[in-house]
Amino acid sequence: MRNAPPRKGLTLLEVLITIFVMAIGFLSVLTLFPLAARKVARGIDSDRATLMAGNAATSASILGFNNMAQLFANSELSQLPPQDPRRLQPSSVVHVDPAGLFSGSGTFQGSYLMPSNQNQLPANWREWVVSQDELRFESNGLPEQGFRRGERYSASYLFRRRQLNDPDSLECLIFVYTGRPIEFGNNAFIPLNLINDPTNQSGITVTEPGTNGTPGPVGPDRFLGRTSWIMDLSTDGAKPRWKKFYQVQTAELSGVNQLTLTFDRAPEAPITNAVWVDFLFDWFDRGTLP
Amino acid sequence: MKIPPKFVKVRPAFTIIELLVALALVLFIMSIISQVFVDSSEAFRSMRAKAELSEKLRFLTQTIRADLRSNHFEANRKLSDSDFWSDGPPQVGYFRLEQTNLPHQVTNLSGSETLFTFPDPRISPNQPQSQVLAFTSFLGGKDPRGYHSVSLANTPGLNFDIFKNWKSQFLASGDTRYEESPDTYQSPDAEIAWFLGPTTDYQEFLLQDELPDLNGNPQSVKIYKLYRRSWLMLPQDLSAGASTTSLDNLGTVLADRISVVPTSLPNLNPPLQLNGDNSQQKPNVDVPMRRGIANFHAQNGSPANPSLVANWKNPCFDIKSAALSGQQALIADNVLSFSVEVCPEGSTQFMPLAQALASANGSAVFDTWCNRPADPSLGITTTFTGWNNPQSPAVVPMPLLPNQLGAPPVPRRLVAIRVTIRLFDTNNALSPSKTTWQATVVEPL
Repeated sequence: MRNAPPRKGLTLLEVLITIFVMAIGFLSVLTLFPLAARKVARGIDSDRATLMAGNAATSASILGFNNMAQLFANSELSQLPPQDPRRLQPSSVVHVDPAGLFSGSGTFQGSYLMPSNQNQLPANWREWVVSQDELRFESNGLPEQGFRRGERYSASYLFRRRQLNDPDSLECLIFVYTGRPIEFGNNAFIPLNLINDPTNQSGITVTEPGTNGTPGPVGPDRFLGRTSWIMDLSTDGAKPRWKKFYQVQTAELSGVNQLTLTFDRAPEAPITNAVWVDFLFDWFDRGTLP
Repeated sequence: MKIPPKFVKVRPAFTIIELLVALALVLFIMSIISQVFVDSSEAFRSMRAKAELSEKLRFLTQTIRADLRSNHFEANRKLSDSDFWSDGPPQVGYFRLEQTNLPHQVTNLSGSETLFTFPDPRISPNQPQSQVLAFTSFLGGKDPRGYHSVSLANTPGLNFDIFKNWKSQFLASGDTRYEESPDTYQSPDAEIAWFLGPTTDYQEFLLQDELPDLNGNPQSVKIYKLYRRSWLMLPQDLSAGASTTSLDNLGTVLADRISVVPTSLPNLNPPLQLNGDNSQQKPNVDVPMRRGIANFHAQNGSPANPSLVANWKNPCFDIKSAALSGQQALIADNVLSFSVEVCPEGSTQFMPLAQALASANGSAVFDTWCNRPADPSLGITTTFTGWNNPQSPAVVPMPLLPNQLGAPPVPRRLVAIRVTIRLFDTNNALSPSKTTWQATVVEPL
């Protein structure tokens, strides 16, 4: 033993460090798997949303939204005299949501919601704007009782006339939602109470929905946070803005019941009125309906 | 006390304790990593299956949407037009939807063995199982790349000189509607049929880890094939009075893929002339389709061209022979269900055709070629008063709706159609991911 040459070996500390480094490397590589899967899922969702939007656009044509009499019945159209110059301006925005069972009060600043009650649109219109492969319907057109939608697709419409006077100038946006629990009803739009916050130039600051008398989210799984969509409905002149959407990047509590939201891009103009478009996956501009 | 160096024991390697500790750590970390790897692999496999199914469905939905969106009749007439029936049935083209719940036995090629019987309750129990969607499709535009096309590779007896002679004789210079390449023929006009099986080689996947059914049998799914057959149309201008014998011969050669109008049929009145204007949005053919020709030739008992009529068999689309004779028509081979629903006039709901037509037995046929009055100028001597075409299986008459201004009642129109296709992942036959994916297409008619 005494004459045996000394053998070189690794200390326990070296071995542990090696294992630790290898583990970090393995985990780093494996982390890419779910990330890749998430990207694939996003691609699939986009594909499905596009198909849903195409079907919703066709459904709007078949159901005759382009010449529906009650579409602007609650708007200023019936209140303005025929020669009023305001008839040359764009109309108010009308949100038609056949899948929404209870759409709330029916109006908010410069905009209107349909249906404002359950009987305003035929119940069986819901199946036209809900992905049929994901949801079963009863024979009366209502979703199957007790069936909970999850990660599926539904659509609603946003209309306005480019000129209030011109019934052929109906512009259409289509919202495609994913995971929207329509069996719980309620409106997809949740008005936000904005707080003046000059320091927040890349988003808006709002009262947390459901507090201090602001409308709260109804139904589970509603959380105003990252990836939520905000639609700018501030008015330019007397008309609400059109096609101004922002996606929330961060949402931080900045006071008591106060949320500071930052968007994916800075607002193009100061926002004074906004709604939270819940469960929105994407929106599609269909232009002017024929 | 200082130990002399000669008594210091030289350490040769790890101690057993060190090895055990290191081994335990390695096993612990490897168990975590392996679990992450298994979960990630499973998630990735599922997502890949969905992505591939989604890709297939995208192709299917785009294709069927384009087919449904094209013109089916002359002069941009639509099935949903309010005056579709009151103006008289369409003179050119047809739209036929056939659905049946009647058991349909599928045999092998020789017919000696019954492979299975439609309907199979395990797939779409509420949907008719045997469905055929057949119609004419007239495309517009000037670019042949957007037209219907058919591969003519390896076609015995094919001589494109016939095409060239025909084109030089009847088409204006620069008219590219019927261009051909060595392997492909293109036309803006076609007859198209979509149908789900039956097939002779359906696949069945046992889901062995699923609970057995009520009879104790293991759960399984049957996979069918979806076909899209197209017959491109080659019109002829009979008013020019030229001989078309060569075209008839070509039609015989290509009877499975190109529908050549025979010579003995008179023109429409007024005729839709080929005038070289390929931008007009109307059919380029000036006679009814071959299917219709076979129909009334059979009615009159005097087919002018027996070979053409025989090739078409009869007005009732034979899905079995069509499937067996044309593998090139296979468009999807991992189909769980293919369902077609319609929205009839006066309704805002989609429903199976039988429900729309108030059929009691769940079977129904909608066909615009029927309900056609006699028209000697077209050579149609038989009045098709209802939907009971003698050569079709049991069909249901279209319910008549009151017409405006006291005119005779007209058949109910179809306003829109909804086609739903569900695919099953069959990438790994031994261990399929059991992922199904479905897409729906809604189109006005």
